[in-house]
Amino acid sequence: MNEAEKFRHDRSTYERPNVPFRCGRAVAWGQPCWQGPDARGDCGGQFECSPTHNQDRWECRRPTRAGGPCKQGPLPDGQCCNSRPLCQPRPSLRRLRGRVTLMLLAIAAALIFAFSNPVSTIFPSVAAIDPGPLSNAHAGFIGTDKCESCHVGHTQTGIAWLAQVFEEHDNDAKCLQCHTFDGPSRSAHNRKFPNRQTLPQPECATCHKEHKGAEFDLAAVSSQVCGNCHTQQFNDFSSGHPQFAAQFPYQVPNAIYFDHNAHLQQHFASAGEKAVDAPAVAEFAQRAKRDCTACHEIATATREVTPRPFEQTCGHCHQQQITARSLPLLLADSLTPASALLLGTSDDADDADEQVVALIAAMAEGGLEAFAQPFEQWQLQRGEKMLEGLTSEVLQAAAKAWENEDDYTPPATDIHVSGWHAGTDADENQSIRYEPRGHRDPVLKAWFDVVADLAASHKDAALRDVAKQTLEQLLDSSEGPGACGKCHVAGITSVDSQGLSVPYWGFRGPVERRHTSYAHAPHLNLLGGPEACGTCHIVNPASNYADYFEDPERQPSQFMSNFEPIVKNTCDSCHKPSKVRFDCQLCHTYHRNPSFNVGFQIKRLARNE
Amino acid sequence: MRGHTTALGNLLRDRTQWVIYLIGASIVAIAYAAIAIPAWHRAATLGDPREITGYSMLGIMLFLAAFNLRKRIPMLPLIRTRWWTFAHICGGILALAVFWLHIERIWPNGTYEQCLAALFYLTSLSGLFGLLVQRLQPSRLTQTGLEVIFERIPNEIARLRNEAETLAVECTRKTRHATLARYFVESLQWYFGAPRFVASYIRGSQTAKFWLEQRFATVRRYLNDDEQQYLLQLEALAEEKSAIDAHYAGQLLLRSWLLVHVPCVAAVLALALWHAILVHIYAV
Repeated sequence: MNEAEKFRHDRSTYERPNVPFRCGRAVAWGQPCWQGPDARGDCGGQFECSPTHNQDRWECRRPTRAGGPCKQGPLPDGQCCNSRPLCQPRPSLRRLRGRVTLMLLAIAAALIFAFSNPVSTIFPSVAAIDPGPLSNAHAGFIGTDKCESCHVGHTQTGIAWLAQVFEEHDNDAKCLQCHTFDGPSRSAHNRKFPNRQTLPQPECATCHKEHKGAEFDLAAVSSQVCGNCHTQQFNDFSSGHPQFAAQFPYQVPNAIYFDHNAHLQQHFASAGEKAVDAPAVAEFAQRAKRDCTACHEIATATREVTPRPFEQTCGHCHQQQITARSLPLLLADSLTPASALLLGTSDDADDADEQVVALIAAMAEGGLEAFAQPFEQWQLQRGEKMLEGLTSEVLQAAAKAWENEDDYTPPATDIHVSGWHAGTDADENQSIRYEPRGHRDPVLKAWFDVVADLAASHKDAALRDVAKQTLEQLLDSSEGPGACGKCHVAGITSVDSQGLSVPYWGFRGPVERRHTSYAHAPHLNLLGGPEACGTCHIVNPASNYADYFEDPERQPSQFMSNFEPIVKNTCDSCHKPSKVRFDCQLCHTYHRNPSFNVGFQIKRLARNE
Repeated sequence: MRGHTTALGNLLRDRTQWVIYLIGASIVAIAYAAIAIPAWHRAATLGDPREITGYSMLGIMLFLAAFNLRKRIPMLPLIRTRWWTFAHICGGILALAVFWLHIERIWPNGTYEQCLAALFYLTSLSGLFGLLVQRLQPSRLTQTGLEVIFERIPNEIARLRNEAETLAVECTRKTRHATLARYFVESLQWYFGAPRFVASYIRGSQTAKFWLEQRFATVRRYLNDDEQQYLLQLEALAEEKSAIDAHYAGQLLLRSWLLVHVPCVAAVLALALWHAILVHIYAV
């Protein structure tokens, strides 16, 4: 108590907080004995003192703090005269704490030991090596291998398993058993960066964190991670992203000559008046004038918006132009660009007449054999396709008639299934000609492909010039066969950096951007449907779109789209904080063409079994 | 003059207290930044920040656990316990922050990690509870006007009981009336038998005081003047017992939270070490 004298050494016991046991009487709130329990927890207070033997006398040793020596003194046998029943000492709080600690440690160790065996299949869901549920993407493919599917370290047991603490593991190798990419799989962006030797080589788990639950998005990566490797660093799209390239996304010239300005402002407007007796054409023209989806497919569009097929779009007005223009192979009295090409000469050459006579004679004698020698001269591999459907009988009959200076009249039974015709044409000339049956005519396409190839890369310069001249005549927008050159002039004459012909007949597609993605459909849904295309694609009435197509050189730098370039502000009016997502992954993909390989197929088969 | 001195002392003490809080918060913030910035940099350079946060976490936990060892060897000059306590509190708050940085969420996924997290949270909560108790209880105990060592409380209660019983017997013998003795046997003997109203003292309520007042007021009217003298002495003993009960309740609380905190620390350390082993086998 507050009275200091009360706790003098001769008046009270010296209580220590770290004694392991408490007197059993104190626990029951009785008067504790002065001795207290011993270190083993046994009662030390059965007798009030331990008498000592002094010169044949037993002396009481009860200390002053317990009342001093008693009056009775020890018994004759030296035992204390004041005995009490033994108490049951109890552990102190400190000892109790130690016991609980040891017990909890033992439970933890036992649970770890019981559930950590890597090959144990007992209670797998509570195993001490279970770090959480897999994502849905992987949960179905681990099969009976389970952890071993992805973790190299799981293959061992016992001490060998534990010893792997000191080993490096190539867990990426397990990922790459199923996943594959274009380019080096372990390099950033699956590409080599020769000028960035210090770039870190990320592991798969750096970005794809597993065991985060079934619904966890494995591919989600924060924008900061992207920004830290890139030389131009910025936080996100809204702050610091560089401006889009000049003329984005129209840097690459179109393969098809389609002037949006001319069509929207003139042709679609006048189509209704011209096609009074063709209501479908007028209806299409009206729709195309206000709705881009009349020609462009957006329902399945991602970054690329593919134009609809010719028959559903251009064909409404241009189908007739194709079938109206035939490819004259040979006239009865003169060479055509096609026959001149085959003979390796010019249709206005001095000896053209002699060559025509010789060719007709050869046709009369051998039919299609007459073209064998020219094809051999050109080393043509696709000659059969150029004359597909043309028969020797027709050639011989026409040639023989012409040798006799008669007009050839085809028999009435000739139904012209093949497209090849002999006889009098629309200009009242005797000719052998090919009349295209429609868009994508295979024979005409073969002629253009072959001639463009010869013009671009034939080893004989003289013959190459002949081919160029022929190609120009075939591509003539007002007279060329099938009117192909009217729209396909740029696509057909495309050459690669090696100077080899790489004709693009159809939509060339957008510029290849391996790490960029874009989805048109959700944007249109949000902005108000097909008529909202103009939000981003703004027509530029002042554009010199035709210049590129009309210039024979067709320099890509000369190309100017019908549309204003899309600038960053177009996007960041919505993609910014507090509005719409603006993280890197929204538009950019890290990997190049991710797909699955054999390992995945094996796992899939095993799963299905 | 004395009043002014007390007010000034309180003001200075409060200011010192706030400075200590500020220093503690700064230490925690700096230590957290020292861990979080390299971790953020590691993440930004396509490394695994959990290596940094995990080993930092382990280091912090070992440091926190070292406080217990320090208390076991008080003879060594290892900085004053007061500063160890301060560092322990700062370290505990830092551990909680780094734990969230490490698991990147509040609650992990795996069964094992959930056990580890549950124990860690239990340790943290018990630590916070202990901190709260250590801030509140000492002032309450001081208010009793009494000082008593926890281990001596059974002795003191036994002494008070004996004195009360002696008073009751003496009153009967000297006044020839057994009213007070009978009342003691029927009512006060229970009170002097053991610490009473423990929960009430922990809550800080006055239940014991009211109970005693009611009991003594009831019996007072039946006693003559001589007995009243003995009753006054009994009341003094009961008040002393009340103060000891308050000490028992407060000191029990000050000790018993460690019954949860310390075992949890040991278990968390064991599970965390095993967790580190698993990480090195499976993830690295």
